[in-house]
Amino acid sequence: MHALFSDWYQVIDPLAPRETIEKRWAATEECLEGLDMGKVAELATYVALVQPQTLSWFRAVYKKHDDVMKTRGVDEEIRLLAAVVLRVAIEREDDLAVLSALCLLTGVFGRSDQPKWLEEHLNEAARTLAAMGRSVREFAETGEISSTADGDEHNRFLEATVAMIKTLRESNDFLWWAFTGHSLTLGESYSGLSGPTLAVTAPADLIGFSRMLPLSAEAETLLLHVVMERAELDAKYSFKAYASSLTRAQAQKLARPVPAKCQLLCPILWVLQVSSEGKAWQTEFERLFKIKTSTPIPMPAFTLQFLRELCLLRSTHAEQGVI
Amino acid sequence: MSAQDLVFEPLDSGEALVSTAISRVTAQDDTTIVLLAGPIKSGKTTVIVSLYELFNQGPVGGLFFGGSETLVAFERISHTGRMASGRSIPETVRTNPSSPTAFLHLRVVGTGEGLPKASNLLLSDVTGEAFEEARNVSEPTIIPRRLWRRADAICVLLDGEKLSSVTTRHLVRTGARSLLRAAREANLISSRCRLMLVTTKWDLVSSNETVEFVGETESWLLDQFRSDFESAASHRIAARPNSSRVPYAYGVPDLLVDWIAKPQLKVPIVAPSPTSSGMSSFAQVFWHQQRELVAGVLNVV
Amino acid sequence: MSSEQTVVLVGLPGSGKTTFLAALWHQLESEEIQTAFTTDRLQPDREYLNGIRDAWLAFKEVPHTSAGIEQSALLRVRHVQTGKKFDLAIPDVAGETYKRQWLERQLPGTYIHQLHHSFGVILFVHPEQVLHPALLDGAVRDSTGSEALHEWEPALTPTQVRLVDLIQSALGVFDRSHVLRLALVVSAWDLVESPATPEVWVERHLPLLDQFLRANTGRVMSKIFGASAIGGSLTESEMLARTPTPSSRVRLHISSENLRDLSRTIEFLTLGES
Repeated sequence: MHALFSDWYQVIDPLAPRETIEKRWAATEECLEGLDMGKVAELATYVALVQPQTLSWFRAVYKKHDDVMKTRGVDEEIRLLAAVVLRVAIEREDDLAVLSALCLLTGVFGRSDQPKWLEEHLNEAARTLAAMGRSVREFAETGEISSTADGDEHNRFLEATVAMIKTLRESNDFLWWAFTGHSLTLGESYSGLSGPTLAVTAPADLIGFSRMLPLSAEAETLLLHVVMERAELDAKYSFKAYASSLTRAQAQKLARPVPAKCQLLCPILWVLQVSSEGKAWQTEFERLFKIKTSTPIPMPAFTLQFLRELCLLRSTHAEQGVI
Repeated sequence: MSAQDLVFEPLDSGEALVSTAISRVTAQDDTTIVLLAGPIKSGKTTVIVSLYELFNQGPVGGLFFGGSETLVAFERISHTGRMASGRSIPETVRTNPSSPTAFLHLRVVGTGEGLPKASNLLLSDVTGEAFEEARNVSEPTIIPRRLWRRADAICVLLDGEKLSSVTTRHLVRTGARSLLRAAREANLISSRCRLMLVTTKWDLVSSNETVEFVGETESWLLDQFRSDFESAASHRIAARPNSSRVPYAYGVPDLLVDWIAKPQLKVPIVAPSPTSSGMSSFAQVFWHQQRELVAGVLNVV
Repeated sequence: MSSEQTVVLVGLPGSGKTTFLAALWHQLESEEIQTAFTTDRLQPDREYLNGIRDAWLAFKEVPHTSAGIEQSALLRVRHVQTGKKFDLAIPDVAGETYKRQWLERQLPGTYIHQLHHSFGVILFVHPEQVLHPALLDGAVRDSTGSEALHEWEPALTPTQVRLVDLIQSALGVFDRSHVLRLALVVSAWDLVESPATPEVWVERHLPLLDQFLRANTGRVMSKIFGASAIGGSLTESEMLARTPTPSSRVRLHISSENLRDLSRTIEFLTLGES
């Protein structure tokens, strides 16, 4: 059993008997085994939005392991367990880990009533992405290969070298981007863009230069630097204001299609899509995402969220997974 | 008459929830658990009663009453404060020390900025006996350790009437300190728990000298114990004042608002640790210069 | 043709359910005034409805349903504006049953069944039967003679608490995504002194219930009505007999609108907020 599972579960039932905790863990392990991209997106959506009629497959697994578990009146319990599954998946640091972390982070954005217990999972998601971002970009520097090395070893050496070059090119491109302050996506200079427009544009440009996922923590830092250099740190705009700072043409250039199961995890991409079509969106947005379009959001949070949404999108395509 | 006519489905009793039953609330909704601790007659139950009676008159602290699983229990404890009890002076029924710890449930809904926000509260008063046991026994049973650690807020009540008297005020002070110290040493406090020092019977605190003493006591206690909790605050209330110059349940709405206050989770971002790359060096410069600013807006991990 | 669904009348004893039903039936059947619904010619089970209607017409006390005997009315109606047809089953359940819910903490199986197959609930409250919680004044210090102490008993519970409990229990029958339609009818509205609107009356006299409804719009879609189906106390029956038609004795208040058609409550339950 995960060392922290018992502590996590006791938020729901502080006096849960050992037996119950063990049954919940057994069900959690089963869910982890059968996890795929679609399920990750569904779990993250539930953690963010708690839609009562969903996740029947998930509930069924827990019920199977404990037939006295209630089927009604356990929405918060299911939510906690869904977050735990994602958390454990994140700790595995495999491909699903990246998606799990991104889905968890993007899904809760902008919501005002997130439970406190979620905080540690969000922090762990951010930390893991940073750690994995670092490990795919760090290499032992060896300039030599032994004379008795076989074909496989040669190939490995070559792969590592190519990967090092990719990393270097990526950081080079990032730094040039930061230096020139020009948007390839929009074809405009940053100096001509308003703060909120920049907050939406910069992540799209940045990710265009990235060579591998997840992004490094340095890349997120760079994004903050680029946006903060040109706009007020404590400026807060509403979703409405960020959206209306873009012309329809700009929205079209920034919009990207999102797989259905990830829709509710990507509010900014959703807004861009409908804005690019010139449609009114506020009522539907509030209904779907339960975020008020007038709630002020600090720029660093907004720009970081968009970057993560784009990474999420990228990680679904990279896997060629069907969501 | 059909067979259906003879079938009855039991309703929840509406009585207070014993600790093994609180999952009925906690498994359904995000719940804030508040424990009220303090000596006998310091006013623990009266706080709860006054809050309930306020809701019976209208919204409290801008919050609407959204329901309760324990309406029968609320009615029972409120009875002795009402005319229907046949009394002429309001009283509070003392919590029976031999009955298991019981929680009262209150759901409140705020409609401030943004969409309506519901908060679920489970309130319980901690008997002196339960507290003593937790202090002295490694595996307490009245309130098990896991339940203490699940608490989101611990309110330590200071009896305003006793603070007003020179002969009893120091006992109040040291009693509160000893209670908090024992909680700390017995590892009853979780890192997410908040501390509230609540001075009750504020209507009986009339002299400036007492007010000063209360202020000093609050600072003294907060200084010593603030770091054991996520945050700490003090409140002064008069749940059922004896004087008409102080309104009924004075200070209780603010206490309620404090109970349910939940800071919005900030978006986390990792400040990277140094490596040998140019990008990393640049990042170090950024965080050195901007960390404080950014921490106001994002959760820097 | 829609399948039969119930309109559940809920309220404590004497809250006015049966009187309302009698007047409603008269309005629909007599066609004396324009109503939101019309009735089909063929109405099965008219005996009970006619019985209570006749008592109402004659200004006699409408017989209260005795506990244990449930009368059922089935109305086939057609909504005039939309043409939609509805089969309404309206069980007239004794107020005792609802009173017992608070005391005995159980729901009859029939009630649960009705709720599951209902358009919604009409909840009645009689303004002269509201029990308010009267607090003892902490500032009063002297004891007035002998104190005959009363232990707590369920019957002492304020009305607003019992009404909240009734709604909570009804909601408990459904799962969380279900929205319960609730028409809250303040009966004997003519007895309300200096009436404002029904909403204001509820806010003032049943503040706990008022907050509960405002706080739970995600689960309860409610609308408040003031209804008066006698149009005066029974001793004024002579005066009232001079009004043109029995239907015009009736008043239905929706906010500041003053109407006659009681079936507007049914309209709200079947068709939602217009």
